[in-house]
Amino acid sequence: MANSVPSSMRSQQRDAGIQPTLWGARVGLICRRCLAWRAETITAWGFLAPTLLLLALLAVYPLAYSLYLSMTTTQVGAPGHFVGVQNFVQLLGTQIFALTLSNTVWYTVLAVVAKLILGLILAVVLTQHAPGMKWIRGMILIPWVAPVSLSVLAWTWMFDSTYSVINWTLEHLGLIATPVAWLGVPDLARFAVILVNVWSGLPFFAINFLAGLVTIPRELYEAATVDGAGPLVRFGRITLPLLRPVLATVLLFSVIMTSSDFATVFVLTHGGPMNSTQILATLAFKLGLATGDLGQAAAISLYLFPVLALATVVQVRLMRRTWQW
Amino acid sequence: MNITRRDFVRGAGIVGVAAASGILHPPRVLAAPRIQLLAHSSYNEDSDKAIEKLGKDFAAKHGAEFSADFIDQPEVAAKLTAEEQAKAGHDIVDLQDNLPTIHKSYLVPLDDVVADIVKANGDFFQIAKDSGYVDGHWLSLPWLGNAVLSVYRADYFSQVGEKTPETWEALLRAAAKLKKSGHPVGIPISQCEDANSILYPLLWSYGASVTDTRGRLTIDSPATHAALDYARKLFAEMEPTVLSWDDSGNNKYILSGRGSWTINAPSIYLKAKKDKMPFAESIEQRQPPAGPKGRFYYADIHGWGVLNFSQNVELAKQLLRSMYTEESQKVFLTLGQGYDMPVLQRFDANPPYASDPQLRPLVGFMKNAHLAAYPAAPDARAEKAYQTYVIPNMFARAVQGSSNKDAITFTVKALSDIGYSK
Amino acid sequence: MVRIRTRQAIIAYLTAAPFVLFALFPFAWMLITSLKQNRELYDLSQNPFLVHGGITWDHYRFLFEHTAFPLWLRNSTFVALVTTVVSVLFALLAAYALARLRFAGAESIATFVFIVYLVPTTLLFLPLARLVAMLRLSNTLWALVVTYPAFIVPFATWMLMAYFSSIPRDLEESALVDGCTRLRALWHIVLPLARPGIVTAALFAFTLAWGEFMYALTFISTTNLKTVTAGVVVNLIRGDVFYWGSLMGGALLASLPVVLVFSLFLDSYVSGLTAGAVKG
Repeated sequence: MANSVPSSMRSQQRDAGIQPTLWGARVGLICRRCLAWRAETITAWGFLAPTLLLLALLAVYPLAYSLYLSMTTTQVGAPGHFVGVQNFVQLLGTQIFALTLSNTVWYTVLAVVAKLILGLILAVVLTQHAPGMKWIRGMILIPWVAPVSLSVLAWTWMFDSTYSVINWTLEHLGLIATPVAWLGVPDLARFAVILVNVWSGLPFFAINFLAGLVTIPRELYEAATVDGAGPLVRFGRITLPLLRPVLATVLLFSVIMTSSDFATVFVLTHGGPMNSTQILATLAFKLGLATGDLGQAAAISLYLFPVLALATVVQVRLMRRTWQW
Repeated sequence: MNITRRDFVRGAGIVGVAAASGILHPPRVLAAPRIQLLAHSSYNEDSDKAIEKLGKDFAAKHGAEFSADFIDQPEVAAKLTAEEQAKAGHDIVDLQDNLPTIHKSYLVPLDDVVADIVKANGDFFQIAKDSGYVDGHWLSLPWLGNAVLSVYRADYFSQVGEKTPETWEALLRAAAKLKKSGHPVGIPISQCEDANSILYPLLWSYGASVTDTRGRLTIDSPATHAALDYARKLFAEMEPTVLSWDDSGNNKYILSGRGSWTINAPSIYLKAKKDKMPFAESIEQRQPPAGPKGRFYYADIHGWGVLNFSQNVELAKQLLRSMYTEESQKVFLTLGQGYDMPVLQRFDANPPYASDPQLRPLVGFMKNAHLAAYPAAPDARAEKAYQTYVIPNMFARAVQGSSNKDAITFTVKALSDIGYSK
Repeated sequence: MVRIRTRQAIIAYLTAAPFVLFALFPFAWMLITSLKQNRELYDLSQNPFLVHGGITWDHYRFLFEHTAFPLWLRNSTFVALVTTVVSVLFALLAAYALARLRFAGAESIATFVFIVYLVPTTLLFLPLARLVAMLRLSNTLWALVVTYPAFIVPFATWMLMAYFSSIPRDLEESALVDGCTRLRALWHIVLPLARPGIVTAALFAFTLAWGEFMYALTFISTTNLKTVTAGVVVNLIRGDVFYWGSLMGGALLASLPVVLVFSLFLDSYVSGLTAGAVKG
């Protein structure tokens, strides 16, 4: 179907006896290409217009406004004056912010790495064939699909020092003697927050990796096995490289989403104990919105912006190369 | 499978259209003035309904419309900020503690309303004035207060031969015995509001405070050392889980039957009674313990502010005036069941809940209660210190192994970062 | 042969079991908690996995009779549906342009589309609140319908771009030579082939819209107009009293619609992702 039309057209021309001159043909070709190219550009911009307009209004304007706010000393009701990067510099000197920034970086890195590794493993598990596998795939999706703000509430009670079902289980299995104050010890609280984030984010990684794995032709694996490659070698030489584009995009999204996560920490630990789980989003809320210090709230929220923006640019370039736009 | 899906999609479409027609309506041209009120959702839902009724009755008499929205307390400040940025939203807003100071440039002075009410009913409590009176004007009309009391299991105490502790020292003695009997005391030393409401008064009762009356740092003092030493001793008699509690942590501790004593709003007592828990009869409440320098209380004050971008300022002010009749106060205080307390001295004389012996300790509470910024006036810095739990974190450090000096140094740095200075 | 298949199946189930347990354990626990009486809920001596004192439907009854839960569900459904339709439409056009058309600035636009995710949500709602007020949409569901596409369209665009790249270009080329416009080529040729991809994008959009919390909380204050995520959290937590039974029941029921929608379209969903991941 795809190839029949052009050839029939060509044969039509031949039959009609039209013999375009060489010169005319070249000009015609260039003109046609030019027009086609311009038509394509106009169409492209036309198609993109609604999205660009939407983003200009709902993303660019807020971003510009936030950037502006972050460089002023605006308080609620008091316009403040322009101070350049003073807010950012000053923040680094405060105790709570230094800890918050470090928490955010660690939280993001650990959570994303955990999701990456577990996601790969789960994806491999899901490629297996068994009756009812489709339902299992559906079931592991549920934590991602369910509203996070609500499921975190359940986790709050599950980690609760008095009623924790986790403590109950561990105590009855004889693994602990006294109840663990999950959300009261800094490192345990950090673990708890990362655990909940991994719980809700893992399905996203797994399903995307699964989709990628499924498209790798089995012949590659079979050929490698014949050549004597063990499972680890097959994984390292075939699976990982072919999964790279999926890995890259999923990683980008996850890093951005995890580093700006609000609900998990806010509901689970309120940033405690002793600010050991305080991250940028929750600090911006507490220090900025709850107390009316808008300039500071903006500066805190935008702190990682340069890094993330750079990551986005690099990522898009990688994606474009692989998809050959 | 395909047919099922198509049917589903069609069905969903029909449902969607039906639902949409229920939600969409062409924009109405409003003829009647409309007052919108924003408040925190009360402990007792009936209190919210009572406010709504009051507003609607007022609106009916004045040919206006009234609507009230009740949201979670932490969201009120965020929502208010958003509305100020948009310069549109509610007309009357519930302002807690330090908020009138922070949002002062958006609030209409209510001096005339307050004057009228004071003339008819007598004066407000000092703590209400602290919150609502900013820069020479009343920017919020104080409405109610929330107090915290000692709440405990009288049966556990009598089992170990102890009476209700009147002082922190007496509590410590009882705590040791109670821990041995398997029912320790517990106060949160964590990042939650309850911890703030307990630990600030603990400091005050030892003669310590964050600042002096002029807002200069005085946290580094021998009195603070004494308070921290005490906290360390008390922590030894508590379970370490108190470091992880949120606002409902101490509630759960007592309601589970494990804990014997804590400081909290009447919500524990009231819930045990409402749900007819087996030990509800044994729960008693008293005033919080006294320290070497006396008995101090913390309370939250809620007041109504009128936003200056409102279209109906005069009408809103009239509504506020009407909320202070004797009858409306009686209704509110009955529904509040002691969780909400009056801020006008007159209505505190014999509130409806005073008939309950466990709620009677609330009478006179407001007279000696203070806001977090005490002894200085409320300001944005006090709010920041409160919101980032500087004081609870100081105690948390001290009880987990830091020396007093280290804990205080850390706290001084945190407070300086917020803008305090010596 | 059969024995190998059975062994394969057993290994599959065994390896999947821990993940399924990890994923579903909180929901099972939510279900049990929502069926327990208050007294048992607070009783430490009781097994948290079993309901001893008899199942009670009180919490669910409270949810449906004393709160506006059904209305919240209706609101969430409306917002999620409309937002999905709008977002997928915008994303379709944008993805087609970025993945199939050649024009200058394609890469910059693609990067720009993702930039929106870098704006922190905690801050975003301040200028958006102003925008919503200017459009006179404050405290209406339309405020959400207008603002949600901002973070859904880029996501959906990415998914559809990946999917479109996997469809051979010749299909449209021949139609274009025939005199078709791009729009018609898109509608008649590409879209039918891209249906799994569109379903996938739509499911993601629906999920994101359904679960959104911050804007739903701050743009809408009237209880009856809240979406289910904001409504459950705000109305079932009063001060330091949490209505745990109803909270868990509400959380469970609020998750059901999305799970249901996903289970109906699961096949299309996975094949949509699969084709989209082909390149590389």
